[in-house]
This record gives sequence, C-alpha cells and structure tokens, in this order.
Amino acid sequence: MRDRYDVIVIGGGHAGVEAAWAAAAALSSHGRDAHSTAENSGWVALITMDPSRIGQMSCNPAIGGLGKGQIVREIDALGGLMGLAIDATGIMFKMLNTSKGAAVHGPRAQADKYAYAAEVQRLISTRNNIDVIAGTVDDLVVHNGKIISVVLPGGCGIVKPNYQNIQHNLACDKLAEMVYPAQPSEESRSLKQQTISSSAVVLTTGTFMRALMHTGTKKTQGGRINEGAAVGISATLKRLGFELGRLKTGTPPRLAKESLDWDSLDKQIGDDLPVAFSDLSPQALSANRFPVLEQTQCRLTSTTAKIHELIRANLHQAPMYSGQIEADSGPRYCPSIEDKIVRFAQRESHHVFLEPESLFTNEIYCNGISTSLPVDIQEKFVRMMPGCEQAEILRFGYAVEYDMVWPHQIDSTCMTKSVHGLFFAGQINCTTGYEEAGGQGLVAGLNAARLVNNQDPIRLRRDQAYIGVMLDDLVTKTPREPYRMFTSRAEHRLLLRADNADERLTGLGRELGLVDDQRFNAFENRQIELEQIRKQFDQVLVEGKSLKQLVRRPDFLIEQVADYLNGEHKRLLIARVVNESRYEGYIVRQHAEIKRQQKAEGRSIPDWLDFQSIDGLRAEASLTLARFMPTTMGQASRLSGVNPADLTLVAVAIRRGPKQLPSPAVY
Amino acid sequence: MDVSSTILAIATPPGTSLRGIIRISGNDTFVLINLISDHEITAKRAAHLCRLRLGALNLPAIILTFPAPNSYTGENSAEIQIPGNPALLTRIIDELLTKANNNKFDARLAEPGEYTARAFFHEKLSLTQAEGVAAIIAAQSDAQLRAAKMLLSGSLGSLAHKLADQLAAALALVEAGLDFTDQEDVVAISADDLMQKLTVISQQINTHLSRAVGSEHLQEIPWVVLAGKPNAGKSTLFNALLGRERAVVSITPGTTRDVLTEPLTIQTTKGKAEVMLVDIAGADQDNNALNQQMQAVAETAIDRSELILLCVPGNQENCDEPDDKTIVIRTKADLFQITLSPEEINVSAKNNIGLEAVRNVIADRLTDQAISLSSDAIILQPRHEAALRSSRDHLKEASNLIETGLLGEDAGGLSNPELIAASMRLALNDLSQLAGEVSPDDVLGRIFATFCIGK
Repeated sequence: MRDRYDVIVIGGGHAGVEAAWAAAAALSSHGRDAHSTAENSGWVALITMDPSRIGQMSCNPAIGGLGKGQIVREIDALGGLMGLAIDATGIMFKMLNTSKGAAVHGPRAQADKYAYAAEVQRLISTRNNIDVIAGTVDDLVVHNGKIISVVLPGGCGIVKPNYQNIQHNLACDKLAEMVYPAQPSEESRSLKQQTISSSAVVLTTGTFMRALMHTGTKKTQGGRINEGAAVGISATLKRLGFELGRLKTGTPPRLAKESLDWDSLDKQIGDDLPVAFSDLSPQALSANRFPVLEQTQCRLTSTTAKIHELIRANLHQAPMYSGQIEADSGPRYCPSIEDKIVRFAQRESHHVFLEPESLFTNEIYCNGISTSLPVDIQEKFVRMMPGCEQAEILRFGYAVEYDMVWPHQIDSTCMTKSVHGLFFAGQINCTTGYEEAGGQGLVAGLNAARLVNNQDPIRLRRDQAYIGVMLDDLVTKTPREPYRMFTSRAEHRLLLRADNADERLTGLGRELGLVDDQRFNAFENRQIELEQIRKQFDQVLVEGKSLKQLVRRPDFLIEQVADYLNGEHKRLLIARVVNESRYEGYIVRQHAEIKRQQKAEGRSIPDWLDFQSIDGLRAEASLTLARFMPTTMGQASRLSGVNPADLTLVAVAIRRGPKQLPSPAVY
Repeated sequence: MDVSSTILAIATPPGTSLRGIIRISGNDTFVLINLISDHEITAKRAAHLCRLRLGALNLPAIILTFPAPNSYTGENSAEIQIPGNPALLTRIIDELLTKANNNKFDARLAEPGEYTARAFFHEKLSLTQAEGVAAIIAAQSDAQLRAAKMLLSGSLGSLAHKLADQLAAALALVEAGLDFTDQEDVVAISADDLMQKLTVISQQINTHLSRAVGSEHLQEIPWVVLAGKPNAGKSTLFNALLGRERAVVSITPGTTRDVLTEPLTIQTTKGKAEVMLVDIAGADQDNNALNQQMQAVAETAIDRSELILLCVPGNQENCDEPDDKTIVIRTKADLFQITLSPEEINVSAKNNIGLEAVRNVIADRLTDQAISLSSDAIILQPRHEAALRSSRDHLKEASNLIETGLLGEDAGGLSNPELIAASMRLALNDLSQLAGEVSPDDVLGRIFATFCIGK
C-alpha cells in the first residue's frame, strides 16, 4: 500500500466504483496532458470492507428504468462502467414506455447479479492505477478546512484480482466467481494502524453509516445481511460539523425457484431486439456479442385480500408502525407491502414480479413485497401468493435505517462546502438507486481528480444531463425522502433522451479525459452517419414533403423511413433522427430558453462571500442563502424565497470584492 | 437571472396622471415598437412623435429611443409616453406582448428590480448606486410580496389556487402515464378525459378574464385617500376598513412606500356600492430622491381624490388647513383621549372604535358617485392578467396536441403525452405567478397519493 494516493474512494458500491473509475481515467496520462505517461499518472485507492462484494446489487437485480435508464446512458457517454457491466451481464432487456415518445423511453435490464458484480470487479482490475484495499476507515483527518489523510485500522491491505476467476467468467456458462477476495492475504495485510494521505477523498457510505436492520422486533447492526455497519464515520462527520439525517429503506424476501410453481405463472418477457446500454457494445464486451448471456423471463403473481388481512392484523409487529425505526419516512415510490396495505386500503391485490437473480442460482427476487415483518408472518403471506404455496424463503426481507448527510452541504460538484477535498456520492447524499449513485460517483471521482490536477470543477447543467438535474435538485431543495430520478423532474425532458446521451456528453467526456480513443472514434463515426441521415431528411422529398416533415405525421411508420434513404444506415441512428425531427419545434424553444439562462447560470459565487453581511438583503433571502450556500448564481436563483432583487444585491457584493480586513497595526 | 429577453413595464405610478410612461429594454426593443408604431423607429437616440395602432384605436405618443450602450440599462431602450391613463398603458403592454409572442420575439413583463439589475450587469451603475437602488427594491418587493400574499388570500388568490390545483392534478395524471407505466395501478388518462379537464380549466380562466374589472372601469370609482404624516395610522385604518390585512403595517414610519388601492363596499341610501380606498405614503420631511418620488405619487392621488381622510393621531396638532373634501380622523383613540372639534372623528382601528362612523361619512359624501360592481368582480394587475392569458394559451396548445393526436391511429390514448405535459407544465408555471410555485415534486406527490406506486 502506498502512503499517498491522489484520490481515495471509500466504499465499493455503485457510487464508489464509478468514482474510482472516473478518477483513474482523469488522472491517467490521457486526462492530464500530452506529455505525461502511464508511469507518472495519478493513483487511486478504492477502500472497501469486503472487495468480493464490489459492485454488488443489494436490492433489485436490475439496472435502468424510467429516468434511471437515461442516467445509465449518460454514465456510459461519459466513459463510465455501468453500461458496459449491464450489457455484459443482462438476462432480460426491455425498453419501457415504447408506446410513448422517445423522450420517455427508459431502457431497463435484469442482471445476473453475480455476473454483474464480477464484471464490475473485472473492469476495475483493468485500470492499472487503482489499488483495491480491503479495510475500513477509522477517521478522516482534516487540517485547516482541508482533507489531508484517512486513517485505517490494523488488518487492512491491498487485494489482487484473481485472473483465473476472470477466465472462468468469460465462458458465461457457470455461476460467476468474484474477481477480488473478501480479505487481503496474510502477506499484504498490515497489522498496524495506517495513515494514507490524500488531498481528495470520495466517501460513499451507502446504507452502512450507523446501519440497523429490522425484521419484526429483531434488530441487527449492519447495512446488508451478514455485513457490518460503519459506526465511527457518523461521529467523524458530526465532529466535522455536518448535519446528519436518518433514512429507511427495505428489501423483499428471496425465494427458491424450484419451490415455486414457476410454469403456472404469467410470463414477463424481454424485447425481441434488445437495445444495449453502452455505445461500445458489443465491440468492447469481452464476449464480443450482445446480449452476452442467455436471455431469461420473469413471472408475475400477486397478493390477495387474505394476505392483506393477515398483514393488517400484524401491523403492530412491523417496525415502521411500531415506532421501532427512528427514521421518519421511507420513499413514497418504493413502499413496503405494509405501507401499500395501509395507504391503499381499498385495494385487494398488488402485483408481485418474480425476478431471477442469476442464471445459475435458484434465487428469485419478489419485486413488490419489500417488508420488515417478522419471519413467520413473511413465510405465511408469501405462501398465500398464487404459485408460491410451497415457497421456500432463502432470505427474509428486512428494513434498514442508516445515516445520511443533508445534501445542501455539498456542491453540485459533489465536494462538500465545508471540507475542501472531501466528496460525497450516493445514498449518503439522500438518494436511492444504483443509477443515481453511479451518476454522482462519476461526478465525484472526476472532480476529485480535477482538484488534484488543479483544474476547475465540473458541474453538469440541468439542460445537459439527468445527472445535472439530480445534483442541482439535491443542492437547491430540501428532499423529503430519498431522491429518485423521474423524467418529470427534468424541465428539458425532450432534450435529455436516452438516444442522444452521446451527443450531449461524449465530447465533453473526451475533453475531461474520461473518454478513450475507442469510444471517441466510434462517436465520431456515428456523428458522420447521423449527419448523412439528417441531410437526407432535409433533402429527400416524398410527395412534395421532406422526410423530416413526413415523419412528424402521427400515422407515419418509422419502418418506412429506411426505404427512402440512400445507403445502409443503422436502425437506431435512423430512429434518433426521426425522434429529433418530431421534437424539433419544442427543442428549438427549449434551446432558446437555455441560451437565455446560461449567462447567469455559471457565474460563480466566491467562498469569501458572507451572505448574512450583505446590506439590504431581506431576512428570508439571507437565511436561505446562508443555509444553502449556493456556489453559482444559477443555484441561487433556484432557491425558493430568493428573488431577482436579492440576486442583484448578491451580484453587487461579489463585484465589490472581499471586505478588507484592517491592516495590522505596525509598532 | 435571465437577461436576454426584452422586458417592459409601466414606469409611472398607478392612477391617472398627466403623463404615463412605458419603459422597454432589451435587444428587440426597437423592432418590437415598430410592430405597433406607424413611424419607423431606428437605433438612434431621438424623440419620435408617432401614432400607435391598438386595434381600432390610433393613439398619439412620444417615443424616446436610447440605443445601447447609452441608456439606463446599457441595452437598447425606449420610453413610450402617452397621457397617463392606466387603461391605455395596460392596453399598450398587452398589444406589445401579444405582437411579440406572435412574431416569436422573446419579450415579457419586467421583474421587480430588473432594470437596475441590467444596468448593473452592463456596468452602467456604480457599485454604490446599484447597491442603494437594489436594497430599496428588495425592501419594496418584500413589502409587495407580503402584500401580494395577503391579496392572494382574497378572491383572486383562491381562484388561482383552485385553477393551479386542478391543473396540477391533471398534469399528475399525464405524468403518471409517463413515469410510472411499469406500475400495475397506473392507468394513463384518456384523451377525452384530459381534453375535458383542460377545457374546464380554460373556461374558468376565460370567465375570470372576462369578468375582470379593467382599469378603465376603476377610473370611474371615486377615490377616498388616507392622508397624514408617516406613522399616523393610515395603513392600520386602511386594513380595518377593509376588514382584512392588505397594507403592511409597521410602527416604523414610512412603511408604506407605494400607493395601495382596494375597493371598499359601503352601504349607501341607494344600496351597496364601491369606492376605491387609497393608502399613500406619509408626507415625510426627508428629502431623498425616492421619498420625493413617493411624495409626487401621493400628491397625484390626493389631487384626483373625491374625499380625503386626514389621519392625525390624538396626541398631535392638526396643522393643515381644513377644506371641503377633507375629514379629520383622530387616530389611536385607544392611546389618547382628546376633545374633538366638530367634524372630527375619533377612531381606534385597534379597538374597532369609530369605524362605523367613518363608513357613514364616506357614504354620506359619496352616495352619488359610488358605483356598483358585480359581486364576483376581481381586480387584475397587468402582471396577473398576462399570467392568466399565457396560461390559457399554453392550455390551448395542449388541447391542440390532443386533437392532432386523435387524427392519427392512436385514438383514445394520448399519442404525444410528453409534449402535452410540456405545454401543461408551462401553463402551470404561469399560474404559479399567482398561486405560488407548484414544483415537479408536488406533482409527483399527487401521483403517489393517487396511485399505489412501487413494485
């Protein structure tokens, strides 16, 4: 283990791996300047309690969805790893919302969760400037408001990838083996406490901070089954002055497939022509085909009136209702079955999707019945679902509560406002979901590396990416539940489509050093082809109308377009041009709006500005500004209770410059 | 802050005056004026005598042009000067906004403080100047905001809330069909249902726009002005007579910085009728520019009034010469017991003493002039009216989209729900100027309350 890393990432979940991956890219020769070489590229440490669980899907074995699928496309367009990992390990791909316009299409895929974690680990192992360290973090050392090092207890050490397991996984015909071991080997383990210094640390605590799991009245410390909790870090963050909150989430029971009457249940099937998440699939996938794994199906069952009765009779044993859980609210869009029955009492049945967690194990995820009821009740009600009469529960559902840091304390760069060089990403920022975590991880890792490289931080704009919408929402609003992406959160929804993520972000990713040659060349080739198609859309006339006008007619079938085009063109690229033609009028209007706001948007508010010392500022505006400490005029303008006159006063105070301290008296 | 649209506003104080001014600033200023002027305006500093085409009306006006950068804001700017009739000023603003919209120019009403903000960003104001002006505007807009909140608790507010509520509920149904189609419980709203909901909302907006009392109607209502020194209790009396909080009351002298007008219903011998109650800034000795400006406004109001209620606290001498249209009100009667001269009325707004007497005096003096407004009349500020119109137009756009979709194969369902939602969102944003912001999170909240979301 080195005693200094350029960037340290703590946590190996979906935020942590994107952070390490992006930081490694931005610190490597490409991201810095033309003269640097692999040898002097920066180093990244990825510290996690159990490296064999890097990239694990703790809850639903699926990636993407409405709003979330767009984020995965954005992560991919910026050179991230989530798209590649799901393409290599998806077992049922489905584009959601295809009956609606392209702006709300949401790519989603079920994953073999073992293959997914192993693939994420394999990808991490391909970066030669990432050290994976098995261990926990005892303390963060801050000096003069800057992070300087992290302290690891004895027993931590570097782990190395197992290349045999990588080979094993390439065959795709057996249960995936993890690439990293759970613990460091004897020789790499350090018995002493160690301090590793770094000026950029990304903290991704997931559900592990002061985590407490509940099943009925039984309470277990830990963020996931058979894993521990991170207890000290909450205290450290409090000591550093952060305002912490507590959230709750839950997970459903897992059933043994052979114990179910699988074939009797309604089938849920994927798309005939699956669409890959990554622009690099299949070329960059090690199998060189897409989809890589055999495609499977899900099944559908449901709860019954009798089940609802049973649950209602046992509500007093549910921790959320008995008052056993401290956190005030769980997410409204992901309620437990207890919540559903209380809040929608009139309903007699709810769908339950049975989703295989792997091609090679018997575990079935019960999507729809997240619960923290006692195990005996769980067993009873699961067996009352059609097709599940003999069900064997492999793992019971549970609720977990954990600490988070209220997100107004970070900037949309993911760096905390009070500790220079300390970045937060994922559930610690009051979000939920692998995709949301991944998006923040990427931004945090990138900006951590940029800080080390002495480059300006990057803030993605609301009109540029869902990731930008998410981070802006987090830093300008007070969330009332874990934040999950929905397309309705994006005012520029028609622009932020899954199909054009590359045009929005790959060029930027290239400038930032996140996009390698392979991806960039492929992007440029697509651009050339898109231009050819667009030109023909303008020029080819059918019955006196251009193709572009023609496709706007609601009764026009997209399949017909190819007949009018010269030369062979990729189906997805033609579809993209059709989509943009249909939205053109709206997009022109949105662009005008964006252009109008852009000037003020990026104007930064310097750290020396003390909002409370601005003369004439209304009390409400002053309090709001002091709490949120916006870092750009754009952020400030979106705070509720701040009006244009207040913004003028802020702008004046900035122009005026820092108040001069009286010069020290000279004797 | 958005600084690239062209902004316009009435620059003269409300009420009739010798001269009314509309100030326009931004890139498209001159092209915009040319849309309604018979005289070609060019980017030269000049005064133009021309006629403005307002439908059938042909109105003479003086237009002063200030090309960038030599203007107050540093942008192309102009002042349109006409006789100070509020109805005509509003009409010109309307015409300009409509024409701008039809010709795809980006023009809108100015926000409070926006001219100053622009002047500052274009380095036309020194730091100190900008700071001073912005602070006044901030304080003023704070008072206005509070006043607006109180106003909005009245008829217009409850109307706007009702409309925003209906629209947000309809939007939630459309959004549910977009963001939660993977949910068992969510059934996307049908084209017919949505069309019906939008029509109902549009109709209500139309009804209220047609029922709105235009400024020209208000011109005929007699004015009753509350006059007196700062902190004489004018605003307290104003609120007490109206029976609700309208003016911001503070013990700090000079809190009322603008003219507040509100119709007051009185019981005359001919039945119920309305007069316009006007609260003006106190006559202050302080000589700064802003005060002078406010005093000018106050004097105009006093000139055009039919009746003046001169407020003098019980412990102060009344030094003004009494005249026919003035009645002296001895305020704060709860604090000071004094012997009244004849024609004076002792009032404690706080303890509800003497209010009836004041109402009776007003009724006695103004029975002939007071006019009846229909009971559901609402008074719209130009900004509110513009917001309602714009909301209605966006709803129209959404309805058109539903209809176009129906021509296609996909009858029944919505074929462009994401576009319909975009137009509805804009309509909701318009209403939020009157009803307070309805955020995407609020809309999501409605979805979660209506449907069982979560697999």
